[in-house]
Amino acid sequence: MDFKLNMQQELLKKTVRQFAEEEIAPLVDEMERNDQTPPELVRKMGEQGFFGVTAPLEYGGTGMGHVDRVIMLEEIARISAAIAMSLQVLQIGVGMMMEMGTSEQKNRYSPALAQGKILITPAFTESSGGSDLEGMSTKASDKGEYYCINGRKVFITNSHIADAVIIIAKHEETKKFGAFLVEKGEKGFRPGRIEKKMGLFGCYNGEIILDNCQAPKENLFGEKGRGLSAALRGISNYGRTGMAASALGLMQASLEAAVKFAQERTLYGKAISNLAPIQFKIAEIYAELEASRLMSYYAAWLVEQGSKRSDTQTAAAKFFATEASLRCTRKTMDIYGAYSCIKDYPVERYYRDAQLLISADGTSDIKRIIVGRNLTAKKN
Amino acid sequence: MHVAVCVKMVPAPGQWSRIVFRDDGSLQREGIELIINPVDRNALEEALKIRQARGGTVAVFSMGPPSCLEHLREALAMGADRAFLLSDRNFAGADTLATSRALAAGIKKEMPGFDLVLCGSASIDSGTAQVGPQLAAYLGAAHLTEAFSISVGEQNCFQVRTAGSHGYFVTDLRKPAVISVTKQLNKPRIPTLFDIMASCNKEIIILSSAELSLPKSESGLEGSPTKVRELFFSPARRLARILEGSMEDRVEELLRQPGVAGVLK
Repeated sequence: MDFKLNMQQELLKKTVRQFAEEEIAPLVDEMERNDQTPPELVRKMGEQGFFGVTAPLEYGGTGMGHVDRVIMLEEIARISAAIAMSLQVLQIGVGMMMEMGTSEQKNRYSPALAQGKILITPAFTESSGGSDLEGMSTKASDKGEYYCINGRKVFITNSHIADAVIIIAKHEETKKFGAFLVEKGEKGFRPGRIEKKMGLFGCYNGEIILDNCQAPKENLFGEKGRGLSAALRGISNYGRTGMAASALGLMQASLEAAVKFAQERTLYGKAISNLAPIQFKIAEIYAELEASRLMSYYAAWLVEQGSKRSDTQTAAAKFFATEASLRCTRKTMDIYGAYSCIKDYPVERYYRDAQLLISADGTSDIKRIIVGRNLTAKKN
Repeated sequence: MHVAVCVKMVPAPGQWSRIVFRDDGSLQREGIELIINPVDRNALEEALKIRQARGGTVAVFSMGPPSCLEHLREALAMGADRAFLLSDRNFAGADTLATSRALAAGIKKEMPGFDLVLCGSASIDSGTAQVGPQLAAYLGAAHLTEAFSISVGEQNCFQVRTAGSHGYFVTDLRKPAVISVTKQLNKPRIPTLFDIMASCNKEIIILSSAELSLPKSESGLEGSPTKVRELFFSPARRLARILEGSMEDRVEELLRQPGVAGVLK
């Protein structure tokens, strides 16, 4: 068993860290103020190849794997979980296109999609929730030359920067779910309100409104009536590992902030890093981070291998890592004491951002249900 | 245009508290996170720009243990065509003179028709700024230090701008040349993911002292005239002094302080 990153992964980690520190870090304060994703940053990330990290070379991607993707997202989340969140969801769009898109669709959107020149975001969740996909009420009606789609999608990440969305809607004729690619210029398509979140500022989250929206027939995504399984695969293979990676970045940032502050802050004439309660907290953050990292890398590796166990592992990694990130960021706040509540320090941002990771892409409880159901199904 | 770039692996700034010196005064690099000396990246960036404008090749040269290979991979990801690591036990403990001699031998062997050698003006660990000029001497090339602008002239020369105390100098430098550069020269690129993938197919060649025909007496510690007699920390102290008297007296006294007069001149 070799736990060492290979040379390419080491270089990837170092390079993305450098990009995050030089290109993203200077924008964080502004994002905290205006809650907007900087378009110039999106362009730069596209040039770097971040969107097409797992896309094949022939479609303009880099041909890297899912473990590489997790390494990359962790480094971005270490500086900005908001940007990691935005990026990882757009990568779901790329991944779904590569896995489900017809060759005509892939050729139409490549290589621009992998290069971030066209942004496609998945839009599954409705007001009834995101996890009960069967309960979705958005409908698509076959009008001969086009599908007429009606419905309202909510909590859609990148809702206001995406050039196109992947909609899951029920075929009125067959009552089965289909996936549809809808471009923002289509008649009847419009982004709705932008949600005012408690964190992840810089990552848009809002509504997509489909009011007699006309999607061309050739925009049916994947096989007719297989949209739901496609959505679940996208969430499982990309969404959960992306969320876990974002949590890793937050924990790494928290650990670094905790150690630095503990070494610099003095109490009774000594640095507080000498105090056992502070050391305990730092040790716990470290242990939770390392456990989460192993789980997440392993989950991504299973996805890469096409293993059937990946569904269980990605769900477990998602809920464990995101919950751990909330515990760790809270401990870092405790170490900072009163300073933790001041916006001059980044730790309160880490804490707010961590809370948002818990519910996104399926709550922890839903993920527990998936893990429990898979494990008990095997036993029975 | 064939450009050689010399890069040095130095401890990352956050690692300085972990630096340990051996009994002979040399720095123990094992177990310390290393990076490419920051200003050497500017040298590489300039070489890549020159290649983009004029064609040719860019080769990177470094001296160090095999752990430096991963950093040379980074240089390849930035866009260098080839990389050479001078790595051999005989090279260990080299001072700037022995390092320059070895690098010059490597460049002569692997890039005999070079037009330009670029290196950073100084390293962040030892900061002697000696390798560039010594390298030029060994290569028999013209040289300039502290360049903040380089343009390739039409008539076999480089037009180089270097900082002076009251402005800057513009110098035409004939090929082949060695130029030490400053951070003001450019902003080094960050490799893309595509560059990283491409770098994995590029070769890094390890050169030994024997391959460079360098005898042990001219390599490493044995070939180094510099001997470290003593190492000590020189703590920086801040001086706080309240000046007394009238405003005129205080200003006069202030201007007499070392350094202040120069600043206000």
